[in-house]
Amino acid sequence: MNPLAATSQDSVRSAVKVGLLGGLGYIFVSAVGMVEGLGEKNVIDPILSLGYLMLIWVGLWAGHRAGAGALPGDGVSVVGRVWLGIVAGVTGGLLASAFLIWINTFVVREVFTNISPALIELLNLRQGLGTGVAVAIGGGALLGGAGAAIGTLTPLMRRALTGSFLWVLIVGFLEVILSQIFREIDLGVFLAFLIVGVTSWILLRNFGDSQRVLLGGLLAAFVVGVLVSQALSEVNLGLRFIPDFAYINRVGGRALTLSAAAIVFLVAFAATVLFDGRRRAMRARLAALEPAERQKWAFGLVGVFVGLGVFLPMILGSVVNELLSTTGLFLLMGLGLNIVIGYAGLLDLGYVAFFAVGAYTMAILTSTSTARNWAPELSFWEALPFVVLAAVVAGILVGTPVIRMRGDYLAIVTLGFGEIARILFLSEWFSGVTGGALGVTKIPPIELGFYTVKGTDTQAVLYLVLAFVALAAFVSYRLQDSRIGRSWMAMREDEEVAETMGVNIVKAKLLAFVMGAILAGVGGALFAVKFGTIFPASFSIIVSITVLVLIIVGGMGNIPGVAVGALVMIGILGGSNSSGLLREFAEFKLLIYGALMLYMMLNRPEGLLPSKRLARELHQEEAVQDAWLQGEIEQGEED
Amino acid sequence: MADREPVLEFRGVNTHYGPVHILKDVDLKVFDGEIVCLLGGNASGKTTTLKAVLGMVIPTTGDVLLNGEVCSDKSTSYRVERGVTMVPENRRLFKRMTVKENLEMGTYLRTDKENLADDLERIFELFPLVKERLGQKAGTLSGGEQQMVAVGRALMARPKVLLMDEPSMGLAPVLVAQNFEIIEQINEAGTTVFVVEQNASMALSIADRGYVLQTGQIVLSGTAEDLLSNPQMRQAYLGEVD
Repeated sequence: MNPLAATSQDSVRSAVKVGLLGGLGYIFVSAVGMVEGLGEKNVIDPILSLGYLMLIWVGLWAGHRAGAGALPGDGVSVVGRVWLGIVAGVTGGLLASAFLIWINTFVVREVFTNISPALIELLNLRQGLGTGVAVAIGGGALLGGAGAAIGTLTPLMRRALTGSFLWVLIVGFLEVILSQIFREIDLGVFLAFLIVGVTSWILLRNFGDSQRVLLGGLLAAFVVGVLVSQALSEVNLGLRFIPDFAYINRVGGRALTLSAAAIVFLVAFAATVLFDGRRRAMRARLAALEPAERQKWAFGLVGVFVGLGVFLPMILGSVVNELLSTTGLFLLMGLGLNIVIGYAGLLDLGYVAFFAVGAYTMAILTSTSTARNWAPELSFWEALPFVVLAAVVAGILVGTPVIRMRGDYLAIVTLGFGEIARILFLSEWFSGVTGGALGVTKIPPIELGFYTVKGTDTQAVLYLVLAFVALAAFVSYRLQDSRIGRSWMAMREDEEVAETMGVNIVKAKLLAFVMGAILAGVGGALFAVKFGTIFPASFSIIVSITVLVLIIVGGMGNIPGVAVGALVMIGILGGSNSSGLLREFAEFKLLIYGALMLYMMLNRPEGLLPSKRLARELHQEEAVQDAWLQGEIEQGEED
Repeated sequence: MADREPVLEFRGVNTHYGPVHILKDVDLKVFDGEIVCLLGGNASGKTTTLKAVLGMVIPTTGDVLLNGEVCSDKSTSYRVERGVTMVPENRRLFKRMTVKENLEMGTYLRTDKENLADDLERIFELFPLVKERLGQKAGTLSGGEQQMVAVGRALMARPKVLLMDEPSMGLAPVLVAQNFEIIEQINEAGTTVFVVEQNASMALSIADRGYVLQTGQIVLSGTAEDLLSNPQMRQAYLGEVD
């Protein structure tokens, strides 16, 4: 009997459609060069490269969609759903095969530069076209069926399965960080974590009401922790065997071994299933917390992050510290742009101008190079007030002409300002001061009195950046519910009405621009010191766009959201002129930015970690619209 | 009434949007404790008049006086500080802010923060429903509730003169009547009210005096009774056919 007979024709048709989409996905991922470019990087050695992972994901996705496409009321059985998945998989496989036959028969490289012989080899599994076609169709069927089967599991099993697989991938991707931590962790840092953790736990439980005791106790714990970590930093914990067992050296970087992958998968799977009840209970308790109680634990969470910020850089090693300081610089800018866009609602696309002004002011005032006409050779701390001053002036200069502009017009004009700044710094006209295209070199390190922070000293730079980030986050947080924060919010909602409430629109807008400019300017100053040399090319429009994307992805208007956005966009994917943790993706960064933006706008417009305000609004609006459609609003209006 | 000083006065006010002449030699006076309405059809210059009171439109010639002080070139916030507040047309609440935050925005320029709790209580007395909605987003309220919050927001500023731009706009007839009752109550509590309306009969039923604006000129003025019985008025604005 044909098992598909039980399913409706619509379901089959939609499965074929999804299958064709999957096939297109296969072709796209191959043709843009992802399969080949990422083929070198093994996630699990020797069976799974990142390139193949992309293809597998496409297959699973298509199967899952095809299976879920059958409506619950259709009476489609589990077997029917799996069959739908297989139909989708085979359809996609057929399309992929057509593509394979095409690229095996004709040389299309002149048009599609990424369809190289190496890619064809990869897609054929190095066994010739026949195998390639067989694998495309057979693999499609298998993955499609599996994708659909996953959809029929209970929610818990589904989460356990996908979650555990995700954990394997995460452990694979975080190789750099994890091996570093396990190798470097010493008794000192371990004890420091323990001391701070236990003290803050005790303090929060018993003295949560007295902020003074809490802060004092935490500070003391941190001091003790730092001392202990310094004193015992030579005693390695000897956990080196873990990364040595888990990862293996390969051409494209270190990969997870099969046995380690299996262990991670099993542990994550068991943990998800076994602790499901406890997780639910925790969630329920968290939801039931009193606001005051909740604030207490939020305070604790901030403490955890401070602890991580203080102790983690000691063991993370230079590569990750470097990555994190770049992330921190962008986070600083993100916090600034969050004030301009998130709080005040002014869409500024020329934000890089302020970053450039800060960097150049610091560079020009401190540089010891003799290539330029004017070099006052100040120290970092002497130059910093001038950086802030220059940022304020730049904020007013950009803000004043656009005071009466809104939305799209504001965006276009500020976009222009961003480019103007870069071109001014590049121009021959100022080259006596700014160095023109050659930039400014020999920017000296920062003297702290007891320590000299050199740009190459990644750990010290990270501490410095983190200190400024903490300051910026604190200022942003305090601004949020302040009088000026409220006036920004009102202005964002309705400029004219805010004005009739007595808000001085000109002042409020300029202040938003200036605050944003100061944060970006300080970020620029740190950037200059970190690299020791700056060029106009570092301040192109892509910086503005990256910062904008990171606050949208993270969650506009929300400080932790901006931090998450910076970590994902800069730390993991890589920023405009730095590569992130997944350096394999660097070539496809802009493609991923675009896909991520599209996905976020369609499915999670409030960002990964949204501000409560925005999330409530977006979802409440939906609810209101739904209610309106059901005619509930009219009823409400009459009573 | 002539011996009293007007709290709001226009002396020969002319305004332009670019080359377009909007208000033409407008003279009007609003005395302390009155309800005065400004009537007129679409595009007659009603909203421009209110904007000129608040300084969002600056007259090209003529003067705007508040409490006898010439304020023609003063900023909006200067005027708001001197006791003028507006309930805008169509309510225009800050939709993404809560009701409480909306009410608090009304007190933006006030320095006597210790009285705010009392004022909030007064708003609740006037509109008991608002109290239940305090934590809710303003954008999710019904039209009638939004009107209450908009009036409450303006009252939180403790205005001497309350400007109302088309309070009947977009509300069900029952709500319009309620709304005008509220305006009367506010007036009885000592606030001068200047209402701009298209709904002439409704406005004149509560007003002491009225002005009629036509293509930027005051064509009629007088006490509410006079205007209600004026034949020209009855024909043009009160929908009467001879």
